[in-house]
Amino acid sequence: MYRLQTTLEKERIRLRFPRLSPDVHTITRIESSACRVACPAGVQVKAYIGLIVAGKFQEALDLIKKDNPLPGICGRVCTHPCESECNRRKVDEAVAICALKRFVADWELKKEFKKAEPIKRTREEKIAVVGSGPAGLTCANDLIRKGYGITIFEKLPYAGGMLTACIPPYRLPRDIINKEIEDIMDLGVEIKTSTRVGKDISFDDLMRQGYKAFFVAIGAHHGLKLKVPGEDEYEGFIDCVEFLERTNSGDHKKPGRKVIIIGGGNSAIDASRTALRLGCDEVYIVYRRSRKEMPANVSEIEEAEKEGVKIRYLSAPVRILGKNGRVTGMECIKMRLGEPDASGRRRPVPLEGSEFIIEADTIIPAISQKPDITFLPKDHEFKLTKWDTFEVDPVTFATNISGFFAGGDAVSGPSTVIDAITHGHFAAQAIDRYLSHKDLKKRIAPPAEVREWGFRLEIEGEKPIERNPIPKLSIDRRLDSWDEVDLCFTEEQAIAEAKRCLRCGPCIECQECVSGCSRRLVMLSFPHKVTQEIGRVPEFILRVPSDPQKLPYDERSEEVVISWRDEEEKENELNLKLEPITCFVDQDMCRGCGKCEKVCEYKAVTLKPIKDGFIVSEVDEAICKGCGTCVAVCTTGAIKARHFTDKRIELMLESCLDHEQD
Amino acid sequence: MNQDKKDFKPKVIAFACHWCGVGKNEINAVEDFPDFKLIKLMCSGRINTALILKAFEKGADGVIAFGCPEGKCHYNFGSSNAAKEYKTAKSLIELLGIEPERLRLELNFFTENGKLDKVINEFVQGIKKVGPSPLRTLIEIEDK
Repeated sequence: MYRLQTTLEKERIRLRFPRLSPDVHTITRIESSACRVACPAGVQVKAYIGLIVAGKFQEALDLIKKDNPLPGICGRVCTHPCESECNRRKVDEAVAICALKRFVADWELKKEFKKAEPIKRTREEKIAVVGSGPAGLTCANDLIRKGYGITIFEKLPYAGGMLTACIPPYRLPRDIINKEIEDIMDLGVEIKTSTRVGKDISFDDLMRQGYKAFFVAIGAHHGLKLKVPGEDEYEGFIDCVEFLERTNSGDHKKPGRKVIIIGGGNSAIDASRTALRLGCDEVYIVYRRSRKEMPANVSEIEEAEKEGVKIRYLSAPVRILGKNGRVTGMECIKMRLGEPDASGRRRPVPLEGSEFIIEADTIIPAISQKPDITFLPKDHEFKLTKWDTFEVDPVTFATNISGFFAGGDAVSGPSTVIDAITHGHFAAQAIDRYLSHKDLKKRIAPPAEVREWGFRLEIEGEKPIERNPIPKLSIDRRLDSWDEVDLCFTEEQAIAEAKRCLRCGPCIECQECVSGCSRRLVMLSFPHKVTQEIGRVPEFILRVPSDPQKLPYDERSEEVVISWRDEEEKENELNLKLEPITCFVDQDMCRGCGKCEKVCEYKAVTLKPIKDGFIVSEVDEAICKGCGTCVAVCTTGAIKARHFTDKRIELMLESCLDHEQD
Repeated sequence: MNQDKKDFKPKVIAFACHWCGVGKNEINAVEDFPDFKLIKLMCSGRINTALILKAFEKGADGVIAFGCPEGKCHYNFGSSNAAKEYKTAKSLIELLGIEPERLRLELNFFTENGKLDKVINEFVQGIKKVGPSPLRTLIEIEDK
């Protein structure tokens, strides 16, 4: 899985003779763990779980924040695709990754933490982010760290987008959202709430104010219509998003006595549990497929049912019933599951003659949403799909208009928080490249694919350990308050749960070795290409002249791929002395004063006792960089360096300027 | 000649001191400028007039050297040595008919993000303006 190598491999792109400069050793990871590959944002799941086991909660949190600036939010509402891929499932149940992430985020809240310092502005360009949801916040967070000036414009009077507007506080307490938004604002991001771009301030105005790039992450707030007869005739319809927005901003009015919610996503469940908390007598969810196909989180469905939501699976609305202009009920029809459709889920087929009626005075459709694009001027030139989402490049998230990028639900339609975070990351990279006048697509990593694993995970003999259940608020205390239902692990529970991780592969990628090494000898790189390993150092390309005696190389010279050992033979053959530039000790002359050991920046020199009580110094040539400091301090002249001779530099020059290589 | 200028890819040799921070940024810079060849030396003091002239002789369109600011050299006198050699080389190349824009010594720390990119960009753009090195065209004629 992991191998030690030198940075020579990277250097070969420009050095013809990489052996001339031995460099830092790196540990290169070849494959990722399944949980990290499954995460759209590529959060280093295995690493932070390993750090929790070790009790290093701060380090774990810092590591999460590298890929996910909203750990507390994601720890509560993420759909955790990582848990579905967890290898522990082959033994018993997946590790409670999401709850562990929440644990470290909450752990920080409990202790005193330092506020982040504002990032120093190094770039002149200003960037406007439209929408302060997870996509916008992530993009702003990434770009402010690159030194740009960022302003987020938000239509609503509060920041957070769907997180604040639609997710009820019993699932995601407002102080958590505010804390994570404040963390990002502390870095220097400015958030202008109650400012609707397109209405209060136009794109042209912003361009005149000096904004060079735009990230449109407006989300999808516009609920879709049911398209059944009677929908527009009667009063008593509230759109799901509108209902949640109204409730979350403090209007705790009962929508009705009997409520029907149509749909099977997380918003439908949120609406149903919110309705119960508002005091509705009966709350139904009508979903046309079975429970297995329901897109909402399983634990959410379970909790909703426990609280008293009645879910009618395999049912679809046919007609709205009403009297005197008000809704009185809904006629539904039973469905059965047919062949799988394009999304892979089985298509529901109506069963003739199975109609039934549910009485209700309020109907909340929660079937899907689309972006509200009324903020755009009528003659806008954006390319939109038929669902009103922005058409963007899948890698760079650039729209058809140069300088405008879009992401989040505004591109994907209603989706998850972690997807929006991923969009934010990619768009931030692309915006940075756009403003630096670089090729947009180059060097942006393609989305990770689940690959075949190169090693066999030993699960036989692994004892099942029961998954620590996530603590919950008792049912009788839930319905008359907005207190958070899911509770946090205790420290002991968290460590016990983290210990269930099978640690697929030996290294957990926590990068503690990198920060722990004071001499910066360890580096971790994440290549996307896997190269073959040959000998002590990776193979590289050396131009070998066809006539060894004749220098410089002529046009008949050929490129051969040779390994470290082959190269030595070749060098002898060619009479080219291409040694690494390192220092070496003449141990007969060394008197063991230890000066060289003290001055070595890389800890390459050590003192070692030899027989008769003498001490001499020794240079580890794998670490030595040939800086020559030890040579300068050596009083006896025992340390010598294999230096950059004129001949050698000439050779390097020649290989760099070789006309044949074009 | 005009056509030459259009798809002209300057061959730039950069001598880099190990301590001035070019080392940290090098990978970024090199991937963005494929025609930019870095030769890492331990100190800018290793550069001498002969080396600079050798680079031009072999067909380089430009030579840029990086080093620590004077007085802050890791080996105390390296940067001042580089500055001295650079001065000699500059007057010599002018005598030889090579434009002085083709040679540059940058004594600075490059630990800041983007600073190195900026310098390299500026230098490469300058060379693109003056076109291929007169010596390079000579070499090509000889080859034919």
